Amino acid sequence: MSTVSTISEPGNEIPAPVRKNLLVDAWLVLFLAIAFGAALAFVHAKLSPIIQANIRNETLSLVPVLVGSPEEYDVKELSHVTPSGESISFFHVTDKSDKGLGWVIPASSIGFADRIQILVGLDESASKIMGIRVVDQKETPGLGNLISDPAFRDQFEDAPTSEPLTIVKTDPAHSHQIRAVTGATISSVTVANAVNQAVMDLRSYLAADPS
Amino acid sequence: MASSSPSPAERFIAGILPENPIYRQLLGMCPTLAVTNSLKPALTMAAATAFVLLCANISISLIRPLLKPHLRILIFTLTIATFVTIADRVLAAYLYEMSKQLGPYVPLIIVNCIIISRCEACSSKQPLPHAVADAVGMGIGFALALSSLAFVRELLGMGSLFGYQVLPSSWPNWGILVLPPGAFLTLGVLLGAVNAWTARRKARVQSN
Repeated sequence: MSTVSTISEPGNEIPAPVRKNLLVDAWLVLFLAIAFGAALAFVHAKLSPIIQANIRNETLSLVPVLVGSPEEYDVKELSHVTPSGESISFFHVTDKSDKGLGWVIPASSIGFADRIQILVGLDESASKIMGIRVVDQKETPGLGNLISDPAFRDQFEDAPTSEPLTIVKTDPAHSHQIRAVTGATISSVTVANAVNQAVMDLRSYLAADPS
Repeated sequence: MASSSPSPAERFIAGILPENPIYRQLLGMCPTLAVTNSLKPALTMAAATAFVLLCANISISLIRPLLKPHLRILIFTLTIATFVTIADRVLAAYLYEMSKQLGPYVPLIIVNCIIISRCEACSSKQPLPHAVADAVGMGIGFALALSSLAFVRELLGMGSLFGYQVLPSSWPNWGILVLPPGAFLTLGVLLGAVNAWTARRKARVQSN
């Protein structure tokens, strides 16, 4: 048990032999840090595939909901490299006779607390938004996390894609204005930005691949 | 609670009611108020916390002779954070929906005062059997406290238990109990009830 004061003041500097002892004292901390780090890496390696599968299942179950819940449908997963060099993967929903029913694009953006992940459903011609779902967020409970509530996300239904959507704090005057969650402007703006990005990404795909 | 070094049995019994972490020690209030609006998340949180408490107590008790006083809090926190991360990943893998419902409160177990206070008060000073008994007792006490709170809030606030409708639909759901103010109100009432019961029991024991 060390009884030497460890506060460094003029005339009270830690003498060299005791300084070395402090480093030696910390060997347990360093050893535990390495051991626990290895244990966490092992757990992550084992569980990461299962967690990714859970996320994917959740996404796939939301895809038909976001294009109007058709009774019979096929889902095709596509990928595309945007002009900015980003690689995105998204979904094209068709009915059994291969007629297009709509598109579902994942998008994300850094919100108030952490990254917010959403899915955007667009109609076949990409002219209007059919709906959004917030898939993952860590925003403040009671404030930012209300972006997941129908009251906020229902505003995106039938929103036009002719102009980027903007967030307003009062009643929306135009169909491309969305009212923010009270007290959670940053979270709301993040969702709108992610939606606009999703629309732009789909447009760049459709421009490159007219079929 | 009488001797200076409680036995494993005393540690175990103490954790359930005499030193109940919620009703007597008033620790770990944050998850208590946040996840008790229904029984399922409350019990999942209690299970996750009990797992972390047990693993942390065992680990600290095993490395007890190596702990330096000026570094012990750091080592407690390191140990607790590791086990909470493991619990969080296991929940995300095998109980994905529940993990999303509990949200940020599972990682917040790291700062739950119950766990670090048990490390400081018991497992850094006593051998393995005592530490295990303490962890199990405190875990049961925490689960009892959370489920008593969640039972009241879900039954009166939503008319259901574990998601199954129990009360007839004519019951006007006391919505406030499901919201944060209801958490404080229910906790206050139950805390008062436990205090009254303990005081009456003590008076009866003394008058005998």
